[in-house]
Amino acid sequence: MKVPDTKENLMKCICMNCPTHTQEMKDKMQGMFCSRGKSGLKFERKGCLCGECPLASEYKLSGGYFCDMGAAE
Amino acid sequence: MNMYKNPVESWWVFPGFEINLMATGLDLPVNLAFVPNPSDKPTAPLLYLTELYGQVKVITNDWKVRTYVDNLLNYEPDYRFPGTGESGLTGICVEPNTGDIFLSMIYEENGETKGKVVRTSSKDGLKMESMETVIDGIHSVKAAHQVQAVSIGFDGKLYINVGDGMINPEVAQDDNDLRGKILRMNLDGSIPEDNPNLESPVYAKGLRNPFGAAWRKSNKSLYISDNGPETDDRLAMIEPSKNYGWPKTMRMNSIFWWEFTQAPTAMAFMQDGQFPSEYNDELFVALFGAAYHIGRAIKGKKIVKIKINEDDSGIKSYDEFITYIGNGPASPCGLAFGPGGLYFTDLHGEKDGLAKVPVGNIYKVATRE
Repeated sequence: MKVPDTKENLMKCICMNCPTHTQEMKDKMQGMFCSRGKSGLKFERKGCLCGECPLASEYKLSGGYFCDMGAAE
Repeated sequence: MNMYKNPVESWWVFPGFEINLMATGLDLPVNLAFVPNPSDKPTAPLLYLTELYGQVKVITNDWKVRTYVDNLLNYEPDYRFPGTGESGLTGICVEPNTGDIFLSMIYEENGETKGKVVRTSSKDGLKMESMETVIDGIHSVKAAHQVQAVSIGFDGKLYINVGDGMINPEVAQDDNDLRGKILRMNLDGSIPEDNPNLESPVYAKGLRNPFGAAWRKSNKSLYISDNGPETDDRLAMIEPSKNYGWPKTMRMNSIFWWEFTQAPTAMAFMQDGQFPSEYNDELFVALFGAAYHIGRAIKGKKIVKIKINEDDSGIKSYDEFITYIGNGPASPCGLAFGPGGLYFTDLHGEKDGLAKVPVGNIYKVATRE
């Protein structure tokens, strides 16, 4: 299911707390990759919090690493 | 803000039981471990608890809280829940003969996060005097899935629950990797001669994030709680060489699973007469739920009691025993049976647990008089 890019959803997003979320992502205010698509920056996979996110249960998302794989469909 | 002046009013308790606040002002209290054979002296240790960001507190028989050791983490933790704040110092158990304390935690080395277990000693049990590493170098991550419960079995061996490290779940199936396993060791860190592999501490494999461990007297077996991904948290009895299926499945060789995840943390069997005999051999499991959820929740924020079949083929009964009904971030995390009842921690406490103010609590649940 697609995740709408809304302020309400952004408030629920936990990307900023993820071990994979880099300082560069923070500097560029990147997040909510399940809605906005992949980061485009270089980074290492250091764990994925997508499964714990309220958006994952609300929009029945499966999988993770949306920062790397692109937005949920 | 909590609408209740008395924090015990934030909890619904099973009929016939009552709840009391025993200690407060704790900084993210995770797990509890009672001294197996405590002295009667008021100032002697009764129980120990881990605080997530690197302290161990000791509570004496007179319910005074003291610091046993602090600054155990070699990095600056953050308060990001859920996320990188959900890691640190977690597992704890007391060795019955010496009173030594075993602890599990993560640490940083050359920019990498790793897990380890240490054994600490003290003459009077009130202040740590020495510390030895039992095992270290376990690849880990900040954000749960780390080295979790430590327990000592009826065979006198040390059992260590190790999470899969989150990044590559496939390691849970790799016999040469310590992640996603139950490890079995002698108390000095050497490998027991009767381990499945004489050159490895790996005792069972295929686990994801096995937070809790409890030993059952009736069959002298170890049971664990294991946290699944979007679905399937579970309970399992651990047997040597057994594969518990992760990352392919969370159901293999499980006794019971929650399809709608609840985040089970610590657990304990009622087996020493703290509750009436009809509760004997029931398993009490803390269900933490979503990290830092304010107010009531449909996920977790409760303790359940479960009657397991004699042959471990499933369960006979399942009831909510304690449920959070307040308006704060408190949620049951650690639990253990102690004098006269069941004791549990609420991790964040009733107030703003992200404000770096120690407001965590310990509660006692006992039969109503």
